[in-house]
Order: sequence, then C-alpha cells, then structure tokens
Amino acid sequence: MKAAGQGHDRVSPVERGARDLHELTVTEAASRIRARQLSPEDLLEALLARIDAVEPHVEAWAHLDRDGARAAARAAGDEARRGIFRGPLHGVPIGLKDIIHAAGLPTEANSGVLKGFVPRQDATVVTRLRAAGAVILGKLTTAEFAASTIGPKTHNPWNLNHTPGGSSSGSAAAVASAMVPGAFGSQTGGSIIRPSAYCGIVGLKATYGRISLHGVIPCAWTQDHLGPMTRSVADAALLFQTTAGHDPLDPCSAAAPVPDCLGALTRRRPPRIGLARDYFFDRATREVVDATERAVARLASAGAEVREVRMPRAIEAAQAAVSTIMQSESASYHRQYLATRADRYHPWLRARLEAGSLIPAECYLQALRIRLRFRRDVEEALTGLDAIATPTTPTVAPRTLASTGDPVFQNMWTMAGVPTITLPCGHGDAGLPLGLQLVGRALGEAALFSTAAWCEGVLGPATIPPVR
Amino acid sequence: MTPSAEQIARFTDQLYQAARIRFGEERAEALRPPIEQTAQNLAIVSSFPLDVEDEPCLRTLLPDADAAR
Repeated sequence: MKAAGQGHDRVSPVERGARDLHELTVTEAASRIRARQLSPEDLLEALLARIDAVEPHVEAWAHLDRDGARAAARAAGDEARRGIFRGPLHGVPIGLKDIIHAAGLPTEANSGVLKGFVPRQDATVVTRLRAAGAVILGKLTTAEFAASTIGPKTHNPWNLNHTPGGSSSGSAAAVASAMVPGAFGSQTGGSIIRPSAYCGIVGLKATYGRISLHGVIPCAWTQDHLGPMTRSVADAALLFQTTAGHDPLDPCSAAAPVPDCLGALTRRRPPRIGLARDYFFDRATREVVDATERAVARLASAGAEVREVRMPRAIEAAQAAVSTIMQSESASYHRQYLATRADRYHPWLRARLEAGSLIPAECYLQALRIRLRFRRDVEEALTGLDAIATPTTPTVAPRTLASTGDPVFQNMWTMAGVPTITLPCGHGDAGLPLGLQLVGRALGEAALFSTAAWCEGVLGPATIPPVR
Repeated sequence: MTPSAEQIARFTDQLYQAARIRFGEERAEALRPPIEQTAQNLAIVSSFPLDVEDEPCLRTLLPDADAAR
C-alpha cells in the first residue's frame, strides 16, 4: 500500500492538477495565469482531459478545435513566460455557440443548409475575445439556426435524460459540466437565460445592441442578442466587459459607453427587488414557486428590500408579439435559402419559416408597436427598483431531448431589449437546477451585475454536477 | 383583448389562402399546424388596443435613441 502522496513522480503536473484545474472559473484561471501560477497549456490540457471524460455523455461540442486551441495556448504560454499579457482573458479557453463565426472553424448552425461552411473571418465578439487573450476552444451545439424548438443531440449534465435547454444548448451544458469555464450563447427568445437556468449556471442577456452581432448568423435582427454563460456573476461581468461596446460593423450596435461592470461587483449594497408573482407564479410548477419564494426570502433576510411588482398589461400581447416578430424576421432572413435549399431544413423549421413568410406587414408593425409599449411599461415597473425578480423558467428542464423547453418567462424581456441575468437558486425534482431571473433597465448592466453579485453572495455559487 | 374564435379563424383562413397561392395546395395543407399557431398570435397582436403615440418607429429599438428622445 502506498502512503498518501506516493507515486506522484510518475504523474505529470497536468495530470496531477487536472481534477481541480477544469473547475476553475474564468476569473480564477485568468488570475492564476497572470500570477504565473498556472500555464495556459496546463489549463487547456486539463479541460481537454475533462472533455474526453464527459463529452461522450453530454455531447455539447459541434466542433472541438484541439489543434487550434493548443497552438493558441502555447502562444499565450510563451507570451506569459515573457511577461506579456494580451488582456484580462489571457490564456483562458472560451467556447462559442455554432452560429458565431470564428475564422477557419466550421459554422453550421446545426443545419444541413450550412453543412461544410467555414467562415474566413471572426465575428466581432471573437475578435474582441482573442484581443483579450482568450483561447477559442471550439463551437458548441445549437438548435437549428437558433430558431428551432427541437434540441440538438446535447444532454443536460445534471440528468442526461433531460434537455439542457436551447437554443444555446451546448454552451450551457459545456460550462455546467466544466468542459470550458465560459462560453457565448445567443438569445432571440430565451436561448441564453433558459438553458443557463436548466443547467445551473449564470447567463447574461445584455441590453439590445450592447454586444456586436457582426459575424453572427441572425435569427431575428431586432431581437438577437449575444451573451456570456459562466459559473459565476464575476465571470459574466468579465466576459461582458471584454466584448461589449460599439461596433461600426453592426448597424444595430449601441453607441452608449459601456459602464464599469467589474467595479460594480464590489458595490455590495443590499438591492431593491421587485418580485413578480403576477403572471409568473400562475404559470410555474409548485416546486418552481416554492424555490423562488425561498430564494427571495433569503435575499430579504440578508437585507434586500423586496416588494411585489405588477406586470404590465401588455405582457400577454407581448408573448404573441415576440413570436410574430421572430417569425417575420426569420422568414425574411431565410428567404434565399428556402428558395434554393428548402429540403435541407428540418421539416418543422421549414414549415415555421414558410408560415412566417405569410404574416401581413400590418401585423408585424403592430407587434413592433406592442414591443415599444411593453418596453416603456417595463421601465415604469422598474421605478424605485434595482431589478425585477422572476423564476427563470416555469419548470425544471423537461425530461426530453426533443424539445428545448418553454421560453415563456424570458422572451418578453428579450423583445423589450432590457438586460436580464439568471442565477442558480436551488434544485427541484430529480436534482435539476432552478434559476432566479433578474431584469434590469436598458443600458443598466452595471446595476444589474451589482444586484446579481449581491444575490449570488446570499444564494451561493453555481456547482458542478457529477456527470454520469 | 382576448381574440375571438372568429378572429383566429379569419387569420387562419387568410394565411391558408396565401399559402395556397404561394406554395400550392399540397404544401399549404402541410403548413396547417404552424399556420394555426401563427394565426392565434396575429389575432392577439391585432386585437391589442394601442394609442396613436405607440409608434413602431425603428429608431427607438436602440437604447441610445430612447435616451436621446
């Protein structure tokens, strides 16, 4: 029998540290690399070992770029050893939803329509990630064109029989199972926030226009958002800070300056939270309602000022408006593909797009008007509050891989363009995670991060499931 | 605010007729499920009472434009 510690001589430092290294958050990994306590190469190898162990069960990757990531990690390591650090993500691997262009990597959007497509240029978000020193680890699965409710092959790491949600399915599952510390997803209805909640991680959908969509395959132009998916609020803030800001290549990019969201994390004032029982609790399961009440009670006990908030009258119409806008704009984007490659779509998506192409202009414009009314009403509801809190989803992740779940609690905020973030707030049936959704003001990401960080301090951090 | 069955039926028929013209009889029939779902949404959207000042102005999609108003 060996004494503790014996036998390490035959195990490389990478193997010895692998169990712990893959669990590092973005912030922890970046900090260790900068302090030269960790090399980008060792971090990457630990993550690749984790992927080898977990990916056969979770199936989160559409294209894993081992060679490209190893080359980038080696370059980052060489630079770090010479005291050169490109930015706050130096040497940290990041994953991308497979609708985000990365030069030389396939971007197929889980559709036969784009089979074999390899972009030659990076999306702006990827350019900014690389400039900050990030190592692009690969592409993560998505529902077809981020527009379908039918899931990709991916499993929820908390229970492999359940959906991880979608359409950013791979991003959520890979971050939750610690195959990568952070990833980018996209949201046109609920595609960042819902899978993040189903998988027990933090997801941010920033204000419309904050993170450039240049080089991202559109779903619906006026509702598309990119956002980070991570295992901590600080990580989401770091990835947001690194990638947000005006981009002249994106005609819908917001020109407003990006606030100091990392500084906002240290402002630990108990927040003023408006709890939206109205509308949400009627549509949620008992376990979701109970978990939300428990989470909010804990926040109140810790000093948060909690009061009830009524939802705007337009919320029901907003749900119909979301679908009308999404269907109309998606149909317009896919018009050319439908004319030439209709048979390469999944039949469900093809039919939905074709139905969307029939929507009268008057109805589309009416939906846009409802959107603006709803957005004004949301701003009014936020008066005197730092955030509105709702359950993130009506249920835990459904027991199916055929559907990505219901976006009914997320899509109205997406349509309104206001920022939202989800935090883990407990577990429901079958040990599946539940999320608390916080909604902030347009351009109010700093206040939202401050509130979210405070809440995370009370509710506890994301945890990593034992995948089996 | 809740649309009537007649309103939904009217939109369903309108979309179905448009589908027949654009895609042909057979394809229009295959599109019935998404058409019915779409018609329901259109009926809700159309029956929501809006004020004259609830404009669809696209510039207000951007928060900067909102702030500048």
